[in-house]
Amino acid sequence: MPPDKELVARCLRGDSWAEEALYRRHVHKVERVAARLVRNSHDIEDVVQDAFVQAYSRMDTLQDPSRLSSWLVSIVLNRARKKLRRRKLTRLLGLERSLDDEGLALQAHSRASQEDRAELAAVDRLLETLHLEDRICWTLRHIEGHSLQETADLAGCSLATAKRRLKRATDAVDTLRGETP
Amino acid sequence: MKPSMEERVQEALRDETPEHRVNRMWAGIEGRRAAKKTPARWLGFAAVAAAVVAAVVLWPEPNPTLALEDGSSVPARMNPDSTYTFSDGSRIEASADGHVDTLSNIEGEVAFALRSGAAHFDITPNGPRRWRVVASGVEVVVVGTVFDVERTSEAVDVRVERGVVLVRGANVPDGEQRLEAGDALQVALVGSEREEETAPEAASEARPVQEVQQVPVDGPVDSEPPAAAETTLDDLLRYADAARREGRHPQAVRWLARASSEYSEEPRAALAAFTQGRIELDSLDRPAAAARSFARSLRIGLPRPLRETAQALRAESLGKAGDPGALAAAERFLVRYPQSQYRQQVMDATGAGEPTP
Repeated sequence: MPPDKELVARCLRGDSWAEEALYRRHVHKVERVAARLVRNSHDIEDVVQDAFVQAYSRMDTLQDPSRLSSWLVSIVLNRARKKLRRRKLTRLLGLERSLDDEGLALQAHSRASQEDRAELAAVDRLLETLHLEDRICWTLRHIEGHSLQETADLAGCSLATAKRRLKRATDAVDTLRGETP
Repeated sequence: MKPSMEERVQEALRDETPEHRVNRMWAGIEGRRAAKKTPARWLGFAAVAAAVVAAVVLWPEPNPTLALEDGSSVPARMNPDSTYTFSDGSRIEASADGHVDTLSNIEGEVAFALRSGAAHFDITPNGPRRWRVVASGVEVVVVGTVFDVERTSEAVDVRVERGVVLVRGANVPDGEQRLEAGDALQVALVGSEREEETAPEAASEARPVQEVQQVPVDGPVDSEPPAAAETTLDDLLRYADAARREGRHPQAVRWLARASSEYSEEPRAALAAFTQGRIELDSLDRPAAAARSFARSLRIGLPRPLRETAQALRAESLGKAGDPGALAAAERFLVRYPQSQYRQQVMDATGAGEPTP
């Protein structure tokens, strides 16, 4: 399978095979990030599709093809932010529940234990209470495993800001940890 | 070294997107990109006409909000004894005494309130938006179906002619019921004389009505769980997770109780009982029930790493319940786990002292 640099070059030439290959290579990461934040199956798919459509239309602006993955994650984060802000509005209108809710407990491995799922559900409820940007930073750092600098770059903020957001989120998580034997 | 919570979360979450979702999203991406292409890219008049027809037929209408079929806006209040046909082919027929208001009409979702009387809803399946109908605290969530809703001073009746709906509400058994074609559900309203007598009503179609066992939404823990149905252990655990996530703890307990009793041979049944105990102790303040759940989890066979926790929580629960067996349970625990992190917690709850060497 060609490297990202070659796939990007072929996409820019209109190679539809390369477009699909690029999608299938990166969709798992993009969908994971969307899923951890958006947590609604319909919205997750919406956000992922929007992100790739945007990526294909702006691929000529990608200066360093070796950073394709990070670039895609940045795009999906922005789409997720838009989706979540719109959801906040629908909640104000009393349209809270969805048929397609997909919290973290439903994103578990099939072999995850019930205890694991219970813990995921507790983490989910906690993350719901965080400010969106704090949640993004905590998710990128502690669920997706990015370094501090990567977290700041992906979230589109300075390292100092990322650290502050992580501290706030981590303090809240520690409160949960203190309540769980 | 025990993994941190963050590590456990990372480990528990799936890495890969399910294949069917990958394929479905790719089809959506191709569709959206094709819809963005201008007609000038297509060669020939016939190709242009075909593209226009395809865009109208195959892809969602460009206007994200729902309109009436003549293009006018959906009214905030619909007239009784009237039929409204929408731009996506869906239809609402309000009865002579049916009063329907539009609650919201935004991209991806439209919501109506049945204020009184009855209305017939015929929703185009696989449309670009979800439909919700609310009537006195009962919510019907629709994904392409035909159904009727009738509201009286005492109850809300929902009958499904085609498709599937979810009915939610405080007085809906287990907080949520799924109705399929031929099913009907009558939900007594809060404070009505029929509140304790909510019962299913036979539909006129051939398919038998779905039996809904009468269980108070927040009834005693020892009440019988809903009648057994063709529900897998995965389903039960998933329902319990969803209920717990939404704060519907009594419902979560019911699902977990079914899981541990109907699938007692499965390893996960012990974990279901354990989780049930946690909810009963931490969220519902039912220590006696929690003690029984922890005991059941130990009997079925918890994984070794959780046995100490279950023993500790059982002793604590017995102590909080004022059970005469609490002290003995605590002393057995303290002897068995002399270095346990739960020692003080158990001693505080049961009044047990340090065991004599």
